This record gives sequence, C-alpha cells and structure tokens, in this order.
Amino acid sequence: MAIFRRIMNMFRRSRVDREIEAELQAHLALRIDDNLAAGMPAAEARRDALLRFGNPTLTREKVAAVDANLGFGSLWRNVHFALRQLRRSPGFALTAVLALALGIGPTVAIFSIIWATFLAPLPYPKADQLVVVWSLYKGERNPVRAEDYAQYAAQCRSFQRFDFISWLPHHLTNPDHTEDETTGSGVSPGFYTRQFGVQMALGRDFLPDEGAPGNNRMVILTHRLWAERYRSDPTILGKSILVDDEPYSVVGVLQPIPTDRNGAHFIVPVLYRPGVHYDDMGNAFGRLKPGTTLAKAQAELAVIDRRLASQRSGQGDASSWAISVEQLKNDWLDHKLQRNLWLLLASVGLVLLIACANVANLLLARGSSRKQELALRSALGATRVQILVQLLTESLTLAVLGGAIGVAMGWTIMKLSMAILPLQKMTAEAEVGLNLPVLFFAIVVTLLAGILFGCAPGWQAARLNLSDTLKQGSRSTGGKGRTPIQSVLVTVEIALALILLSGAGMALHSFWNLSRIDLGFRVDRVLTAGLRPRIRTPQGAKPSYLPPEQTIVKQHQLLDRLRAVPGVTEAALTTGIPLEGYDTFPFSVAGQPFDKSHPPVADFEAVTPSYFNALGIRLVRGRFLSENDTLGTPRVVMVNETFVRRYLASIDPLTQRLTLPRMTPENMQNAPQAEFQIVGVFHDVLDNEHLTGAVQPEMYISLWQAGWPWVAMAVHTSVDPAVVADGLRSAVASAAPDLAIGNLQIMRQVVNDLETGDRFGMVLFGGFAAVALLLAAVGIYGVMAFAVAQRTHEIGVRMALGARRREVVVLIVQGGMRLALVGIGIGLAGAYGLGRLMHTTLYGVEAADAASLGAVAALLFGVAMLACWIPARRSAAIDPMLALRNE
Amino acid sequence: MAKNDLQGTLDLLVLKTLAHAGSLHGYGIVLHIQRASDAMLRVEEGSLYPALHRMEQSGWIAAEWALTETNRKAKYYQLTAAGRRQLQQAEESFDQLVKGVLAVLRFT
Repeated sequence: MAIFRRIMNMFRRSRVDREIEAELQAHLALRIDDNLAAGMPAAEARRDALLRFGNPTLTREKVAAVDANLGFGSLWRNVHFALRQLRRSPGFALTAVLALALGIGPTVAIFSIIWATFLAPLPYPKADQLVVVWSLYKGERNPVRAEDYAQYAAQCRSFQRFDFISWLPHHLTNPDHTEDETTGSGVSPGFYTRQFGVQMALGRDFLPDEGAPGNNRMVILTHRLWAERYRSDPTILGKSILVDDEPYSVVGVLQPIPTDRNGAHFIVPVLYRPGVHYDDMGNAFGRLKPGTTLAKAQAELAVIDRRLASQRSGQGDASSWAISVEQLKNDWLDHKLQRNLWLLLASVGLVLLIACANVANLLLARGSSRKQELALRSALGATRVQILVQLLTESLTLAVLGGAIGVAMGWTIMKLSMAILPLQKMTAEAEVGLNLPVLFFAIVVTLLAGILFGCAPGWQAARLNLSDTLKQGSRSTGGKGRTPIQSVLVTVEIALALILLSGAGMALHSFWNLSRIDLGFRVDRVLTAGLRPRIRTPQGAKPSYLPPEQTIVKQHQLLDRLRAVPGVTEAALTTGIPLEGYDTFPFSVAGQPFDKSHPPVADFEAVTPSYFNALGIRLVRGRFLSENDTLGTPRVVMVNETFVRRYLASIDPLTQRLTLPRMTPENMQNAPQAEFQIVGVFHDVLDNEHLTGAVQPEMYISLWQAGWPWVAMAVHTSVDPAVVADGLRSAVASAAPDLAIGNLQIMRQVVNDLETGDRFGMVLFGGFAAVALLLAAVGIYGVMAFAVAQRTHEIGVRMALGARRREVVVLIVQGGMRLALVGIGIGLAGAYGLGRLMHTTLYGVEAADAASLGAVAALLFGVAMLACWIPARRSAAIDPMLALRNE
Repeated sequence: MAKNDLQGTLDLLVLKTLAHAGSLHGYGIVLHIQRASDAMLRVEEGSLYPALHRMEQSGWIAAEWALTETNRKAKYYQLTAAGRRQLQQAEESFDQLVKGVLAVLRFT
C-alpha cells in the first residue's frame, strides 16, 4: 500500500534522507568516473559533475518533499474538507457524533473494568512466576491448611519462595483494652517484600527467623493504617502497639499497595514448622523457579499432598480433595460477576454496532443528496479511490469526534458503575481507570467504527452511475425511496436492540425474583455479630474450657445484658447466622437403619429459644424451643421443612427422635451420642452464602441444653440497628470481658451486598438497553422520515388520484413495520441465544423467558410504530398540489 | 483530456527507459534518455530524482542497491507490473496529446 509506505517514510525520515543522499552521491561519482574516462583532469571532472547536477541540497529536499505532498498533505486536505462538510450540516454532524459517543462511551467504560479485572498484568515484578495454591474440595477452591503449607514448603523444590498469609484475623486493641475492629494477618516473613516486591516505606521487613513462638511480637503497618490511625508518625518505628491485647513493636511500614486481598491493615510474622498442628488456614503463594513450569510444580505438590493425605488417615473423603497450583491472576471475583462483565462488554459492543448502523444510515441518507456533488467531482477527474478516501476521511473524522466525546462519557459511566460495584467485590490489584491500554482500545474501536460505517456511503458512491445522476438532477424516482442497504441496516438495528432489551429484561426479571425471595427470616432492623474469645491460647498449649453449666450461666447473663440495651427488643445467641453458610453434619433418625458410609446430613446449630423471635422465624408444626428446655429436661430439637421433606416425608416428624452428638469443646472428635426428640418444625431459613440455591435441611437444638461456648449474637431492634452497636459493645464488655464483638453486620446491608452483583448487572444492562432502544428508535425514525421526504412526489400523485390520508399513512407505516417485524423476528432468535448464555447467572428465569421477551418485543414494536407513524402522519399532511409542483 | 503536464512526460520517459533497459540507476537513465533522443532531451537531475522517488512510492518502480560495472554502489530501478500498466496508459495519453497538439497546429 503506497499510502502506508509514504506514512512510514515520514517516521523513518532520517533513514530515507540518508538513502537519498547516498543515491545522489552515487550519481555524482558515476559522472566523475565518466569524465575521467573521457580524459578530463580530476578537478575538472568533479567541477563539471557538480555543475551539471545543480544544487544537491535543493534536489534532496525536493525528493523528500514528494512524501509529504503525496501522504499527509492530501490527508490533511481531506480532513480539512471533511470538517468543512460537517460544519455545513451541523444537525447531521451533531446526531452522528452523539450516536457514536453513545456507542463508544459505554464500550470504553466496560472495557476499562474488564481490563483492570481480567487482563491487566499484575503490578508485581516478574508476575508471570507468581502462583497461588488452592486446596480443591470437589473442584471448589478452598484455603490451604497452615500445617499442609508447612509440609509443602519443607518438601517442594519448584519454588524460589513459598509464602503464606493466614486467614486467622488478628485485632488491634485500643489503649483501654477494648477490641478494635481493625484486623491484620499473620504472614511468613518476606511475604510482601521478597515475594511481591513491595518496598518498605519505613523500617524493615520481618527477619527470616521472626514469627517463631517467643520471637513474634513485631508488627508491620500498611501505609494506609499508618497514615490514618497514626497520622504518618515518622517516629513510629520501635513503638509498641497492642495486637490481640499483647504489646507488639512496630518494625516497619509498607509502601502503599493495592487493597490487600484479605483486607489486612497490618501484618505480624508467623513461622510454620512441618509436623506441628496449626488450626488456621490461608493462601499459599509461590514464585516458580526459572525454567519450572506450572505443570511441574502442580505435579510435585500433588505427590507431596498424596503422601500427606495418607498420613492424615481418617479425614473422611480424601478423594474429594485435590491440590491446585494456578497462575496468580485477577480472577478472584465471583463467577457470576465475571460472567456478567463479559456479557456487558458484549452488550455494549452491540450498542456500538447499533450506533454504527445509525451513523451509516445517516451517511447514506446524506449520500443520496450528495450524489450530484460526488458525480461532479468524479466528472472533474477524481478517481474512484480518491472519492472513497475522501468519504472514509469524513467517516473517520466523525468517528474521532464521537470517540473523543465517547471517552469522556465512558469515564463518567465507569465512575458511576464503580459506585454501584463496591470495592470489596473487585480484585485486590484491580485499578480501574482510563489508562493507556484503555485509551488504545478506545482509539482502535473508534477507527474500526469509522471504517465500518464509512463503508456504507463508500459502497454507495462506488456504484454511482455518473451520467444518470448528473442527468437526473435533484428529482428522485419514486419507488420505495430507500436503498436496500438502509433497510438491512434498520432491520439489523432493531434485531440488536431487541437482543439487548431482552438481556436487560431478563436481568430485571431475575432481580425482581431475587428481591422477592422468601428468606424465611426478618431482614429489617436486625443486627448480627460474632463473639470471639479474646484471650488466644498460645500455640501448643492445651486450652481449658468452662463446664457446660457455667457456660450456660454466663450466656444467660450476657443475653440479659444485651436485652437491656436501649433500642433492643429481642436478643439471641446462636452458633449460626442466616446467609453465612451451613455444615453438612451426619446424624441418624432413632430406630431407622443407618448407612455409615452415606449417613444423612443436615446443618446442625445450637440457638437460644429467643432466636426464633429475634429473627421472626415462623413455626410450622409443634412448638418452638422453650426456656424450660434445660440441661435437666429431655433433650429436644427443631428441624426445618426441608429436613422433613427430605428425611421424614411419610412420618409424623413430631414422633421422631434424632441421634446427635453431645458436643463440648473438649470432645469434638468423639462426642457421646444422645437422642433428641423433635418438638417442632420451622419454616425454611435461607442459609446459603448467596441468595439463590436450595435450602439445606437444618436441626436446631437449644443452647441451654448444649453449653457450647463459641456463639454469635443476633438482635432485633426498635430503632435503626446501627444506633445500638455501641450499646451492644459495652454490654459485651461488661457481661463477658473475655469475648469481643467482631464482624458486626446489619442484616439489611448483608442482603443488599449479596444482591450487588445482580443489581450491577441489572442497572448496567438496563441502562445500555435504554441507549440501544433510543438509538434504534432514532435510526428507524430517520430512515422513515427520509423515505417519506423522498416519496413526497409519489405521495402527491397518489393523493391527487384520490388516495385518502389514512391510506397513505397505512402505506408508509406498513413499509416501516415490515422491516421492524423482520428485525424483531431475528432479534427474538438472538435473544434466545443470549438467554441460554445468561440463564445460569439469573434467578428463576428460563433461557426463553416469555415474560421479558414478550414485554421487550411489545416495547420495541411500539417504539417502531411510533417512529414510523410520526413521519407517516407528516406525509399525509402533504398538499398534493405543492408536492406535484415541487418538480 | 488526458493529464499531460511536463511531469507526466518525464514519468513516461523514465518508465519507457526502464522498460527498454530492464534495470538502471538514475545516472544511467539520464544517459539513456540523452543518447536515445540524440541529445535533444536533457533530463534535469533536480527533477529526475523526485520523480523516481514518487514513482517508487506509488509502486510503479522498485529499487535495490547494487554495484555498477565500476564497482560503485548505486540504486537500480526496474518496472513493476503496476509500472508496466502505467507506462501503457501514459503512452496512449501521450499519443492523444501529440495528435491533439498536431491537429491544432495544422488547423488553418
């Protein structure tokens, strides 16, 4: 391509210059050779050659100027001309540029999120060597047990470094010895500096031997904690702060880093020795040795893990567990959100296509009125290629203008999207912004769009018949008044808009279903919190526990104190909180055969009788747990409806007894079994960590019959639950100083957060679909209006011959609606495809969601009808005499 | 009317020269045109090299560096397929021009 060569020459100027220089020198040398051969003396030969050649500098400049003249010179002329053309029809220019901006803006916004979330390289040195190790349980990622990590680290040879960050939270303690909610993590020494290459802002990293018992009272602060809590105190090093109520000495402050994956605000060192038992779990990160592959590391760890598993015998279903070494990537988002993001990118791509189709249509309409101009230019000697280049330059100029506004719009949309997508849903490293790759993407998209819609008028111009057009003058020949390509574009636009609308419709429908799910408990004015033992048993020491009777007495005291907090109407203690997950605990029904290898399982919790009242859980049969069920009375249990359906379908549940372990903290592994009489059935309570999915079978016993020390609390308030938090804290501090409140949550907030992914999808899908609808409506309106304008003469003739206004309107609307119906038909097929892609992320919506498909098809039909009817009505208002005289 | 300015004529001369000689450097082209026209046409170096460069950029001729008989490095040009087509067109329109001009001159 000659144009590329010329443009390339502009960039390779110095090389080209040198080459021209060498060529001209060769010319002189050849002439001198000839002169010498002809017998001239050397000086004379040279003088003659120079004389004949003329001014070499001038010649060189003239040669070089060829590029500029042929390349950018004409390009600039074209752009200049294009801008002048646009200024001459500002309405057209504005519509086209806005349509493009509406297409490009959302695309850039969603791409910026996708880039940061999935594609951007991690901001660590040699990030391709970083791997994360997961324990897979039935294919699901689970944290690695600390004691397994210690074994891997001791035996594995694939890694340069192998580090661990524990999920066990450490808490800052305030000077008055109350627990602070600021949490930190235990990490292996060198975790941030040597594994991830994070620099220290102050002080030093942990030394390799720090973290062993007796040598672990040092702490490193994140930059944020240091800045916010310690006001960037430059003298912080060496000072002592309280962590878990113990003095730790500050040895360093980290440089700012992207929000930590675990939300740790400080780190303390932990060393894990192989063969020692540890209770915590966490994430293991490795840095592969150069030349080692992921597969090798995976194979090596798998061998070690199998060996460990055989030593750990009796751990249940060892075959369900596997080890997985994965490249460290930005893919910690939940599956649903990931899928939604990609679907959103696809949908904004469709919006962009619709915008392109719209602009192509506008250009075509304008092209028909420019036919004469183009024909004239062609007659004056412009080649076909020159006209095509001119038209493409005009399209690209439009695209660049639209792209510039689109990028600004994209930035706004991105900021808005991020506002409804809370940060904790994003990966730690994601830095969403308008960075270079995103801008590059925007430029590529803009140019592609420009070429895409620029092709339509170019194609039209290429088929121009010169003499016909010039002869024809401005009169249009009747017919349909629009070119087939315009019809195709409108049909495509409607089909694409319908697909998008159906996506939005399904997302909306799903969200509607989701917001109406029967959670089985009260969400409003409910507050829950974990109660953690504050005194940590030193590693290796045998912990001691109160006997159950005393635990129960203490829990009664705590509950009384909680109930006395102003604003609290009911308080309860429980081992499990709704929406926080469940266990699968084996049990047996007394008197029924028991298959030991496949025991029935159900979630097993202990609650105070007030739990049902506090959370508004409904009774279905029998009675609730009562304050009168105590250690001295027969043991009782309540089950939920799912439990009855699954295990006691044909029996009266109230006549059955369940065999369950009587667990205490000391005998967790081999608790004595006891029979519990079922006294009541309660309505299902959603216990999944997300809002969808089936409810598990559940068994609730009374805490007053258990004496289990580790509980959480739930309170129902008569006021805004956030107000009572301080009261609850001081109640716990006075009634149970050995416990600390952690993870205080307002139930409404929890539910809102769980709905975030769906809300995000719904709002963005809805927004983009609205844009698509608008663009499609403008598109079909534009084409119909143009067609009516072109057919003014024909309509005039019809009316002069006696056609009634109504008939004319019907004629025009019919023409447009035929296109719309074809588009809707194609779109419905596409929407079905989209539904199949989407329905796994949706709740209670089928792949072919009749409700939303019907609704959006009707909506689009209505909009198309309106867009046809307005120009049609105008056509009917034509005065036949005027139309005919228009000739 | 066909495009026939001086530049077009120079292009025609160069293309024809290359069609005849196969591969030639700039200096050789000057010599050939001089010789073939019995010294009636003299090509200005100041016009020749810009023209060569332009034709190269337009893809009519291709160039490569090679050694002359006297062992000097020089840039040798030869026709491309596009150049051959261009030559044919240029010859035709030149014929038209000559006929047209002659017709005018003979019009009395």
